[in-house]
Amino acid sequence: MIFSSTVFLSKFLPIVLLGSFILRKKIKWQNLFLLLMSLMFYAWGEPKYVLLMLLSIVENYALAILIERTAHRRFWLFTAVFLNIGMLFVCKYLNWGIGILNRIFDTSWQGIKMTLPIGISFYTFQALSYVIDVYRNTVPVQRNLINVGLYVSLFPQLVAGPIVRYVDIEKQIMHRTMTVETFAMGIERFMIGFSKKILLADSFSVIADYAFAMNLEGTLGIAMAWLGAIAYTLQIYYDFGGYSDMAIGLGKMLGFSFAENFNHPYMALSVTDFWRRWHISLSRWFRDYVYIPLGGNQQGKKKMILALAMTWIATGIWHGADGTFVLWGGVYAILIIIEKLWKIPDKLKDKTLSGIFYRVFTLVIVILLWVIFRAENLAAAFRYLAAMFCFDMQSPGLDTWLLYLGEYRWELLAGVLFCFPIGRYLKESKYKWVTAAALATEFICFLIGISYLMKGTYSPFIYFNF
Amino acid sequence: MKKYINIVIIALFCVSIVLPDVQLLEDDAAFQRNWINLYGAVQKVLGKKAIENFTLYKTDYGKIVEPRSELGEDRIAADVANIEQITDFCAEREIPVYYVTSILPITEDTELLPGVQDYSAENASALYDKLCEADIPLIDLRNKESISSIGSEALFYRTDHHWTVEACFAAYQEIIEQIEKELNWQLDAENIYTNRDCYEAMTLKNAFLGSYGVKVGEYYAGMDDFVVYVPTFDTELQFEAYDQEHQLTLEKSGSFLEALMDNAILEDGNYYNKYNAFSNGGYVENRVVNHLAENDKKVLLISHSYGRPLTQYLSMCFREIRNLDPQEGRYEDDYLAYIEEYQPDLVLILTEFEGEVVHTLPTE
Repeated sequence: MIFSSTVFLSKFLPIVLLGSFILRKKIKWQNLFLLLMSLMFYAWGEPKYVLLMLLSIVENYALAILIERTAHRRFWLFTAVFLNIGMLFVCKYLNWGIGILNRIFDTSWQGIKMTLPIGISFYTFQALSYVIDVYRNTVPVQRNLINVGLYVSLFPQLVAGPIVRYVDIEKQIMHRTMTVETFAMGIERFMIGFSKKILLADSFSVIADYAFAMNLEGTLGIAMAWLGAIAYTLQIYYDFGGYSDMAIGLGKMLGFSFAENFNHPYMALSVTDFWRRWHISLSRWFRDYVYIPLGGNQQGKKKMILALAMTWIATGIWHGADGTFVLWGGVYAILIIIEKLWKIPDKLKDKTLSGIFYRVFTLVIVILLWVIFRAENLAAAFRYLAAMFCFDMQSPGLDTWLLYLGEYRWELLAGVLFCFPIGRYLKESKYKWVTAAALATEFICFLIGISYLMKGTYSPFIYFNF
Repeated sequence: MKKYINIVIIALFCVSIVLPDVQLLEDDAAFQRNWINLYGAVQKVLGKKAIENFTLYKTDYGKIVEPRSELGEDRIAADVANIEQITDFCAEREIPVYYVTSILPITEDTELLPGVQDYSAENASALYDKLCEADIPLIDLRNKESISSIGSEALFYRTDHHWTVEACFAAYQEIIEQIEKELNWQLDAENIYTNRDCYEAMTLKNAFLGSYGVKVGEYYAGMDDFVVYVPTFDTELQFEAYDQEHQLTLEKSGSFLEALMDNAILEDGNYYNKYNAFSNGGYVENRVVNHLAENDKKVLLISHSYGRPLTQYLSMCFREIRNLDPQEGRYEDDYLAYIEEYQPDLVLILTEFEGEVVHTLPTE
């Protein structure tokens, strides 16, 4: 089930909110209710994979208890890592690996026939963080299976994050309150995310999809190539950022407080800064559970470079089983290593002109790397990049560019403007009429978003694929 | 104060999220239209000319059009071969047959957005050439003065893909004129049935929202006037509609309006697709018998939905007319067998839609 669907909005959500409100004073029952509703949310449309998630819940619950109770803590931790990563590997990477082996050894081994379980990368990482935190004694083991189940499967962030770490949510599972104020804040946040997704991301997807389709046909010109790349840059931000806003908003409505996942990433000073602002929960996860255990920056430059390279290639592969994601992660690894070695962000702090130049450079790099990320394969990615720099001498395609730019001019303008913290300035204005107007605009946009939904113009979230 | 604002936010949100569900439960078409109207109003405010993911465009004179992609030679040749099969079959039985070309909503004068390409004229032209090569008798409506003088903004509804009654009636006049001339038939000797002055225009103002318009609502598309030319002379007709299983689904008799038009649709202010009133909305097989006809000729009209109003007007000049719709999911049986059994005096084929022949005609 997706948030931007009528079945979620008009059936699932009212039932969950009403049930949670009725059970607000009985937290154990509310947890059970939320667990059941979360399983239903996940099972909607593809029920068989809910068993996989249930397996993940039971397995991690048991392993965490074994880590706490037995002397073989390290063994059980490795078992947990092996089982979680193994399950992720089989579901997401096995066929890719077999394909690579077939190409190398000219064999014809058959892969397994299965679609990727939605959100498996997200809930596997959440479950792993719980077991690792128990191992590290950061959090006490959770003896209630329902609570572990709720942590892994809680529907707001189940299928596309933010990746909530157990340490951040442990207390909230047993002690949280639904207040009028947090509920209203959650509603506002949900409406903002919903509008971002429906009104902006889905509009940009029309441009981006067309540009990438032109690329496959070999008719992409330089003008449309840049417009498509910029549109995809905006689409992925408002799509994933919108989802995160909705998840955080839903969490607030239910009394949870999830960490922020985005902080105006396209305003980043540097590539390193970009990753402090983009998909923050994933960056934190990789930092805490991969980069630092690999030595981080405490054991010399060589180890730091190795740790960064491994972390970023793993980040790339986490997003998908394809060479494009490996390249995408690999290029980020190189850029971040260079920035770390030359301390670029620190050097630019007080320099206005070179600071602006580096911001622009960062943004262009991010846009180019999104092209690799979005492309169907590496060959298509390189062809698209060539079109952006006119290396393939296609016609510029000004007519198509004008058509799409003209039709989506207001959405593009809004998309660029809201990359800056305009919303925050308006909400925090000292003039009450400004904040009231901002609130009214949120409502109007939400209603318009519902009208788009009723019209049937929505598309699935990009990050569901991961 | 803040607390009250929060309560208002919660209340408004709760109402907003249950609204779509109320609509689904009640299956209220008017309610659904309100959402689409809101969507369309936003598109209008944003100045959008392209709708439905760049498949439909609003022209400078307000009509929504659907540019067509290029059809390959093979496709056109296959379509002509199918038509030829019917014309050859009729020729063997000495049944006169005509293929009626279609008129196009997008012409040279239509200003499309830059980057939008329409091949309907090219397709229609290529199809015409192939039809000529195959020696298929044609009634070519494309360059008729009586039709082009109507003006492109009045040939088609602004909110729909169908031709207007004005265009349909002009086509009817041209068809009858050519048949009379070439077959030497007396169909309207006293110039009554094809004379526009013998019809009264019944107009329902701002009453019609067509198949394009319903996608974006009335604020974006506007509403069309729905006009029917009603004979001022006496008419006594019998109408029958049949489904795919050849079962009689509707039988009516009376005057032109009573027998042929679905008056419930015309009178229902909440039912916007008024085009469905033609031929009582029958979309598989319609039969009309004219009890006051001055001849005993039988006509078979193989036509897509353009044929519904055309059937009504053609019925003025013949004893009987039957209309089969070859579109997918409509009349899907053997057309040659039908002709063999029915033994019409004339077969008219109007299956071209904006340069493209709809659905392959099934044959023996």
